Amino acid sequence: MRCKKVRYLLASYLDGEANEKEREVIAKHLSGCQGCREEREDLAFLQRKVTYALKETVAERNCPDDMWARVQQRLPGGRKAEVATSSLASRMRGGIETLGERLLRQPAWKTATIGVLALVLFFGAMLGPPAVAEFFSMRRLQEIARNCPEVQAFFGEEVDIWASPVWLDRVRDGISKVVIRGFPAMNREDRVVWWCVMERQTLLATVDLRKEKIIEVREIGHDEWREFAIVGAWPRRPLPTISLEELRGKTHGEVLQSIAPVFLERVPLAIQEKLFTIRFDPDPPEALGEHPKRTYDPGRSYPRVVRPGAWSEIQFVSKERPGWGRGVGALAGTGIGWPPPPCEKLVITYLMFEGRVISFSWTYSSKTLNRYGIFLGVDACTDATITESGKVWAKGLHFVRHGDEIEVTITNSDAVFVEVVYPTMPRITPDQEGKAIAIAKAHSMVQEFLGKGAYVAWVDYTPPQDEKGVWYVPCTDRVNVNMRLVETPPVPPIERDWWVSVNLAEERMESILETKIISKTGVEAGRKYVIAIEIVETYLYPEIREVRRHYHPLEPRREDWLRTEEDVYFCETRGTYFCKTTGETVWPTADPGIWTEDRIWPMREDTVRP
Amino acid sequence: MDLIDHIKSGDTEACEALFQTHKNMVYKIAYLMTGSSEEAEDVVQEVFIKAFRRAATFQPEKGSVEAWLHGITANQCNSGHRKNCPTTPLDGIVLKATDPDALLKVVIEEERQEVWQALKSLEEGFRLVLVLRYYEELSYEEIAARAGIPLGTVRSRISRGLNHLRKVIKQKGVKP
Repeated sequence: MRCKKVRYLLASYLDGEANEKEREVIAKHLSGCQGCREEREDLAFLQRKVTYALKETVAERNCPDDMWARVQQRLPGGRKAEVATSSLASRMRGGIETLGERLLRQPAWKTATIGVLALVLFFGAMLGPPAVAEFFSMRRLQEIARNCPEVQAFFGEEVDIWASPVWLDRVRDGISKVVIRGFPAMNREDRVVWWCVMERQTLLATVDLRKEKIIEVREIGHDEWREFAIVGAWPRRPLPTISLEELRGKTHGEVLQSIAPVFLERVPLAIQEKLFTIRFDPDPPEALGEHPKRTYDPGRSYPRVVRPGAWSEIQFVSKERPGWGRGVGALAGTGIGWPPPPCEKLVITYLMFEGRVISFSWTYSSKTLNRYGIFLGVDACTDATITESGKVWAKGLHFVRHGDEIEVTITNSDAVFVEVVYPTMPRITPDQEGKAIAIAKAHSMVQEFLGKGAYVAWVDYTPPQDEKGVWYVPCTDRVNVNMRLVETPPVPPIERDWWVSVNLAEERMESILETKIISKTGVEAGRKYVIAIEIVETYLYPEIREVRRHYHPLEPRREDWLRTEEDVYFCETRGTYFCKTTGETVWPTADPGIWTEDRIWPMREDTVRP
Repeated sequence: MDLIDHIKSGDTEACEALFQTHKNMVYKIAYLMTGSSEEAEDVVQEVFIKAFRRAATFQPEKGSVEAWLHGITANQCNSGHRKNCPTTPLDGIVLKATDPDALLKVVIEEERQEVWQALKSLEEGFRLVLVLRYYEELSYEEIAARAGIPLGTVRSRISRGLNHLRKVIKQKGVKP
């Protein structure tokens, strides 16, 4: 049988509607024809998507309540039957309600069991329209996953476990597949990172719906991700790491050849080629985001050899309007777990240190910030405002307006979540923008100071408030900037007590006149530290004359930052504690009755993420 | 006497019972075929009015009441000359910053929309067999009976319909 004929019959073959002779012939043909096998997989995937789309489209749609009245009007005799509504139909409904009430009187576990069994019975032994089954039992599945000892052991404590049924198989004899992922527990004061920092493997569990038990758990295979995409199970795994040993002696071109497939395997080849040009920069400056992009052809070899401490960069540049393709989303998901929004242009950049990806950013431009664009910055982004000069510097978030087009850059590392510097400012003036640039500059200075391999991933800038609670940034006020250093490659040794003074040029902040390191001490590699930076004094925009920084990783920085209970009052309208002397917001420390203006201070060693 | 016998005898309570039991099934198929709530509501009315009027023609030996209503619905959807289907807005998704999968839900919804839009672009005859197959999960034989077309046509329409869908989806840049 020829391929054309086989492909024509594939749908009925997959639907179990081909006759015996056809099945034999098709199976024989498939065993020897790679093209038709791929066709079969594509078609099966499409069939599942169609089923999902159809079922989901009408899942929540029901006939309007007044429809019977409308039908009645058209019946002979008009509305005269209205009075009789109560009898037969009501009896039917009453019967159902009685059953519902009976169920409600059961203990919760019984009700849940009955619910799951009813589900299984309703859809039959191997029916399970997956779309219905997966959403119907979602909540129960979450519970089952959370209570599974193997899952708990895998993810450890303090992790929110998220589970979702998948399409892999239809429900057969009450057995289904579930994808499980873990996220850091929310709503904890000492959590300074968001869910997306979690670098955990994704699990695939086999669940017995009848016994409400996970039968088997295993890590998800890399080749399985495409199967899960449609139900929202987005497999994540640590970003690829290639040891220096592996890289030693190789040219950058060779390195790229070995790295690129790791990223690209998540994206179907056809989509990669359609959407992206891949570029490689073997030696970008260390300061992230402040260098011109040089592009290289990944197919060529470059003479420079990777050396210890070397940085490199790989870029995926959209060739044309990528829209909302699965491929783009999957690629972006490699680093951050989110797909980008529909946009005109998309550039995805991975910055690597000694072959290891330590930061990830994407830049896209869009004609307007649409609903997806607004969502991109999560809740904080909705409050961001673009300045008159068309710029807002934020934590890892940067907007530039070009006419009616807005370009958004989001920078992320594998352990950071973007936030906006000015969370509630209605408008950002050039002065404030200048201050924000100072923060960004301080960010890169710390990175420079700590040396290669250190990447400052988290910045917290809190502008002061006036008595009405309106945020403002006076040009001459002191601004506290707190940073968190995230371990990436080994941190070079620095001294424990050090003091840095930085004088910024009067004319522009871009030039640093002096960087002075007072002392150094050893810092353990592979740990994370808190770095406090204090911009002691600032002058009229943009002339910041001096930036002083001091560093105490795990102890209070200045005693007078601590406040006793007498010096603190609670503002009910804002739900926040304030210092009576300075009017600044204060936070409770680990010591009862002691408050601090620095939210980071009470961070204990055990709360610093290991 | 069963329900249909009551309907034959003009019992409006029986009519309502039949309506309440099957209204959502009819409505959902009608919606999938028309892509419009208003038109689906019109179809529901027509289907039940016809069912009540033609109750005498119902032959239990040929199939269930549900199958009979299916057939009427399919015919009704096929026979109407309808307006263009409006696009379905992306609604019903509540995006929360604390929801780790909020954006993912948007992606899934977006994909569903793409497939749904592609389905709506199909000719009615093709769409009907796909709805009956992949929504109602009927066998090809049942589809042939309910749509009133030969078995070979069902097979052909499913194959060609899926191929068409694939082309439409590919044009939009999404790999099926």
